[in-house]
Amino acid sequence: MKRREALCAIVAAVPALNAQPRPLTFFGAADLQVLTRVADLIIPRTDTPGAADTGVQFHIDRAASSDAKLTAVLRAGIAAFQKVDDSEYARLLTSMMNASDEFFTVMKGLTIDAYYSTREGLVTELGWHGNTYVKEFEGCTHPEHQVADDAD
Amino acid sequence: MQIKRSPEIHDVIVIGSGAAGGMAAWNLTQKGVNVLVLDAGEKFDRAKFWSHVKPWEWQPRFARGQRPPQFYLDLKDQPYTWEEGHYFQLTRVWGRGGKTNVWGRVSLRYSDLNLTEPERDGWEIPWPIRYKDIAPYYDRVEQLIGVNGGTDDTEWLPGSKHHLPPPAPRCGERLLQKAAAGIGIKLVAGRRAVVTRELNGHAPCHYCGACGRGCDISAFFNASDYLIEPALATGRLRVVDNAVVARILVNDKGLASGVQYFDRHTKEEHLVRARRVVLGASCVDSTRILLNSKSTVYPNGIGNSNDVVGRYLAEQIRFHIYGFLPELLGGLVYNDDGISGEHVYMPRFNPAGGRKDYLRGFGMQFWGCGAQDNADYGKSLPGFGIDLKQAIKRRYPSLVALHPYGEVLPRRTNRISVDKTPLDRYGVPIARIEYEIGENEKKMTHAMYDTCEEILHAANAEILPFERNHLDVSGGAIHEHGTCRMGADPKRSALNGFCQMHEVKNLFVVDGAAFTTATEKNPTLTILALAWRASDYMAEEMRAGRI
Repeated sequence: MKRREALCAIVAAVPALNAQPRPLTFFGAADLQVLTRVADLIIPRTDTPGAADTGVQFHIDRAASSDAKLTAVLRAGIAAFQKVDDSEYARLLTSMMNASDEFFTVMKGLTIDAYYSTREGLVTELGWHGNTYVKEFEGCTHPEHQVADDAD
Repeated sequence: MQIKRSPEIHDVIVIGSGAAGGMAAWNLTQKGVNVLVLDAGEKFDRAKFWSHVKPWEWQPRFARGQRPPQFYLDLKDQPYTWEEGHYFQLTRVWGRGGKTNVWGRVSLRYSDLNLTEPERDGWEIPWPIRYKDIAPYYDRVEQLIGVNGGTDDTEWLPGSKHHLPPPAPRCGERLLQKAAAGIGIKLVAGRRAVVTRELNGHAPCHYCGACGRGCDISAFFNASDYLIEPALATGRLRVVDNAVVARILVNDKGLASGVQYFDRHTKEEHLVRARRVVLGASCVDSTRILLNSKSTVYPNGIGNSNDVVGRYLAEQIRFHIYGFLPELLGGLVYNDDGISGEHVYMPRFNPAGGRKDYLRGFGMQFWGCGAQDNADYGKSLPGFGIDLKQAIKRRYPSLVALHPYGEVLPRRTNRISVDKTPLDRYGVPIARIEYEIGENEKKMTHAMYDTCEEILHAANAEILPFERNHLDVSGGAIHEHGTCRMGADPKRSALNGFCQMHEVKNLFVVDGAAFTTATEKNPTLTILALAWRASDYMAEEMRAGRI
């Protein structure tokens, strides 16, 4: 696990940067600002990058461009956030969560899907190091996890 | 458009190149028979598989206009319909090797308890064969394709002397195995057609975990590399790509005399002649072809005077439950890819203490235990923000997943038909699927949920919220069976025990359609064994001049 520790150390030492702007496929700049803030409330920056750092908002923008139902849910949610001050976002998101608002569920799902498929989310945050070449698969080597009457 | 007629009369035409058709073509060419395979697609280019494309590389590739191989058939390409309110999800792969390019690879032997169950419980007809009839073919198939597994051998899951070494269980699987053993449920080593040691020239698995995207080195059985390529090497096989079969032609004696197909791209109609036909186009498409093969001899579809073909469609019920094991919370993250899919399996068992209130039974798979390349479970955890982020991270190495598969009873009303259905792009009626599970499956679902909960409770797991009695969409297991079933009684079945049509002696149906019951097990190993056995018999009948 040394490689992972090294990766964490690098991230901790270098402050995460916001994702580079990318061309939008669907939403306008004002809409994107709301999506960015909400995604970042759902998965914020800690000692590892947050949703906005990894450009989750651009994934959501792209996802919306091909799904009319999703678009409608996102538009309604964005409109609600545009009516309140930036400092009220966390409170509004909490009340949406408590009311099981579809916008909350959809944003949480999209943010989790997108964030944990980025290198930052999957490797840096979670420590995934799969989909590679392994000579022999060792499996569980903990003595305490083995079954006494080994069922093979 | 002009119809293309080939003057040649082929010894055998095989429709389909997957586990069923691929095996028949391979075995017949080994025995010196000349074979023409009609495949509805093309060979997939292994060099272009996205087996080693990391999750974050997908979107940039898409943005550049690149795409992974399109294995799955688009509904627009070849539609089917279903009864309103009863959607049936049909998954098809048209192309060399069919679904074996991306299959789950679980390879379980059926037991005599499976095959004789209709005799014991009285529901519908029994299989015309017994374990001793298939066992030698299981042996041969396992040695040919490579199946890894343990040394266990029980009445519900017969053992094998030919298993390759199984991969070690992951931490979560070990702990589930231990917990289940504590309540009297035995989890054995999984059995999968993944080559864990070099076998017959196939390179061993390198444990990248991406089998579902197709294997870039062909380390798991796929009919294209393991059967069709060696068959081509004999010089006795010819494959026609993009041949979408519409009908089997019939002569005035009521025998199969050839095949009508359409070119998938040019839509050109072709008629090819043959002395014998083997159908292995996968359950639903094979059935569609049989039912569309209407003639004055067979107004109800070829070999279907008894109105059995198209009926008794049986898939399997299944669902998915997830949990987190306390020993692994916040622990080290391993590369849990392994051979992709579970390394342990719960064979069917009779619940301790006796009686059950449903017929048949279920087994259980455990794919998706340990570190995955996503954190889907996070959507079902409460809240948002730092707490959520930490909760997801803490649970990441501790995820376990339970997937029980239950047998669905064969019912006459669960059926495929082609009457009054719309026409496809070639002017041929498409399949309509009517399918509904019954009370028996609902009762079994209860028992499946109970068993999942008992195992997870025994492991002291945190269980991810679930809706009890929810089932996957019909067709979700991709295990369609039964619509051209074998049986001893020609009045109640379409095939004999050698997959030969009772009515049409030179027509064999060798895919899942031939199965008398669905069982709780994954069917492909048995499709391979039965197709091998059927083509052995067929070659013998040819030699004797009977077909």
